[in-house]
Amino acid sequence: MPAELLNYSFFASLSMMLTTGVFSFLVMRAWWQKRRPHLFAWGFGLTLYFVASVAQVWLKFGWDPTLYRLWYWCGALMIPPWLGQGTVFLLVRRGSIARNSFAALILVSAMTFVWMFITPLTPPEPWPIGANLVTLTDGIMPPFSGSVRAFVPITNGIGTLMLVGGAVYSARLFAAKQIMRNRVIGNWLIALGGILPATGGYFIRLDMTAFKYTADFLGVVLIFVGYLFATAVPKAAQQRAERRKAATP
Amino acid sequence: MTALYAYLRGAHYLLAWSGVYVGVLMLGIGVYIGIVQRRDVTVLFRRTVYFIASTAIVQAIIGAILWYGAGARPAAEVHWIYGLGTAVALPFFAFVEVTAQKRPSMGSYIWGFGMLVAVGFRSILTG
Repeated sequence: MPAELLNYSFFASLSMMLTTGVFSFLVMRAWWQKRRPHLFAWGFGLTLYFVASVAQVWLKFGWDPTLYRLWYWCGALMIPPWLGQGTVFLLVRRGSIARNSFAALILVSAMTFVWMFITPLTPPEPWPIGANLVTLTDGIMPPFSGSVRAFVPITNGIGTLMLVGGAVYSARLFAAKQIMRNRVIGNWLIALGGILPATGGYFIRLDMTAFKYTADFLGVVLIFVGYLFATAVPKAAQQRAERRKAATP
Repeated sequence: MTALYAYLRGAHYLLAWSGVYVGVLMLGIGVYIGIVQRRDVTVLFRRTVYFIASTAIVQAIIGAILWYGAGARPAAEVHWIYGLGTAVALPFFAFVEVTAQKRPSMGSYIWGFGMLVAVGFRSILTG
């Protein structure tokens, strides 16, 4: 393995790939068993996280336009809105708001996906092994007016607002009712994990790109731990369920 | 043939602007019926939606004829993505409204026309 590959961003990307792989599998399995729409949206968002991190690792070895496009579409454009949509499905039960925002999300996802694939790319020659994609993106895909990159603040802003706002709302709700302490902790962790990747953009502007990788990785770890906390069934409830099961003839 | 293409080009342009103006009007009507009066979608409103959606599809077909038949190109390549977005926006939200289990469901068309106007306007700017 080339020495220039073994840098911080490579290990951060690799760890993110493994974490998102396990996390997306668990959430998609939960969706398969329960068939709840919020689990599907979260699972799909996490699968996009996984695809983006696989592409990120792969692109460290060499240039591939399709993987780059997938990396940008999944990583920069689609993860927050899909995760945010899961929260909308979970919390917004009034009318068809969640279904409508889902339709809008599918439409925007399809449009930006096609757009990504017609956007011309100009990768550096030769492609640097162990490339830091974050620093190279301005050269590969210049942020001219009207490019697909214009969607990034919109999709990320709305998605992060939904995910973080929903988690904070749930945490405060459970805390006020003084029930399910695990969900209070879990939701605060999800909120913190949702904010971290969004702040990564500011680190890029400050030329601190290594923090972007840390923020992305830590973000998904916190969301994962928060999810495990929030979905854990407390012991007392578990025992009650078992007693009820045993009492049923 | 040149006269036909010029005619189609004019029709494409006219339909695009009409779509935006009618979209704004329908958005206003949708807000009035759905949010102010809190009533459900009327049969007339739904038929009008279907009519507007069909004109958007006709417009997309004209665009495709101009592209492939006359070799015409929009100002920016991304025009056809916005164009496709305009064509599918209303059918998408009409599907959500028709299959909605919770009524009233005018919200779908408020979303639909909001997107139609936004995407349609961007489409014109890139055309």
